[in-house]
Amino acid sequence: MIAASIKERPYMNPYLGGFGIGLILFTIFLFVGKGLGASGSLTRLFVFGMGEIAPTFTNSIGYFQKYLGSETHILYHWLFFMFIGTLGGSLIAGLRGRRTKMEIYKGPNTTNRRRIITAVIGGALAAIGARLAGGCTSGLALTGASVLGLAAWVFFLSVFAAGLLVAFFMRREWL
Amino acid sequence: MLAPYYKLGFINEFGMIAIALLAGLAFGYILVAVGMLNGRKISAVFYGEDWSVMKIMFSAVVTTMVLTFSAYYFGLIDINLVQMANVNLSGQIVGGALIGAGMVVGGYCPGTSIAASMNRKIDAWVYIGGFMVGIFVYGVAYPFISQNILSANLGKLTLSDVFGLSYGTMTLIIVGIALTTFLLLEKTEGKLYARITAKTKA
Repeated sequence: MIAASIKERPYMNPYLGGFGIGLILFTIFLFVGKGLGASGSLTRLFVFGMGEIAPTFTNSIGYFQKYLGSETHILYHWLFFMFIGTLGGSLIAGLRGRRTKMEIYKGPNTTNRRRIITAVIGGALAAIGARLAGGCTSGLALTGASVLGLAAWVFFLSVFAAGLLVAFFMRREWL
Repeated sequence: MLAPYYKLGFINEFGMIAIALLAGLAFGYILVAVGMLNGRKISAVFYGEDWSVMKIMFSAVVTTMVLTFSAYYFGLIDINLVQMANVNLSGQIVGGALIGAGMVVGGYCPGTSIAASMNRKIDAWVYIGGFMVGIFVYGVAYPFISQNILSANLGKLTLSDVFGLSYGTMTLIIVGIALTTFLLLEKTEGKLYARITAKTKA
């Protein structure tokens, strides 16, 4: 098991953390009928930024124009407000647990350089995957699985099958 | 008052925004507290070295699922108004595979990369950088992707639809699977790649 560094607070019990996340998810189902999300907010942030820097080009791409062309502002969205909250909550927990050290998490037998390269590639793969699937682990898997959504369960199985397979080829980076 | 309160007009826009902020706050807090800001801890799930990702996700799903079903059972919620993704088999299979690959190659998923970035983890920052590149590529390639990779939209199918079992029965089965999984996880943590990890520790 990977534990927190000595200088940090020990990590919370995962079952307890999962229970807590479950309570949050149920609460938002009850109050708003919507779920968690992360990839959607990052997507909106990116398209917004690109739209500010290069509006003509961004609007020439159908997929992005759909976001920018809606009647409400691209960032006026449940997911984006949740994103802002997530930033705050992450920081508060980080400060409380003394986890704000600037560092690179990596395996014991790799280099910072290799880690940075794999992180960039991983992010790009995740973005394409999230858009294809219609969400990520929070927005699709957690949210959808909780209401027995087939999309979520198919997605969840695929994530783990692929992860286990690819892990074999990445073992030098993590073990 | 029937739920979801916002969709049925009992909560206004301001309320919706406030709830989004608070939910995000709590979610981000737990992600960091439970260690999901640690790229090494996250990727470790695919080595059986640290099953936390599985424990967290399954616990969350079971908790929400049981509470939501109970609310439905007692007539407190209109379940059809709760968000559910449309089934697109190739989208979810290929997309899931890419996210899984992204998780073990990159060490994060989108949500955890946000939590880690706020705590100054450089690998998370570059993961998000890569994410942005991926969004750009996806947007530009979307016409090709929608024709050649995405499949038919099958709508909001559930496990109940697929297995022909009631909502309650299906919920019970999933709870059973989850509890069994938790037992297996506790027994097998650290065992899968034990030979390699033992060398590292020695």
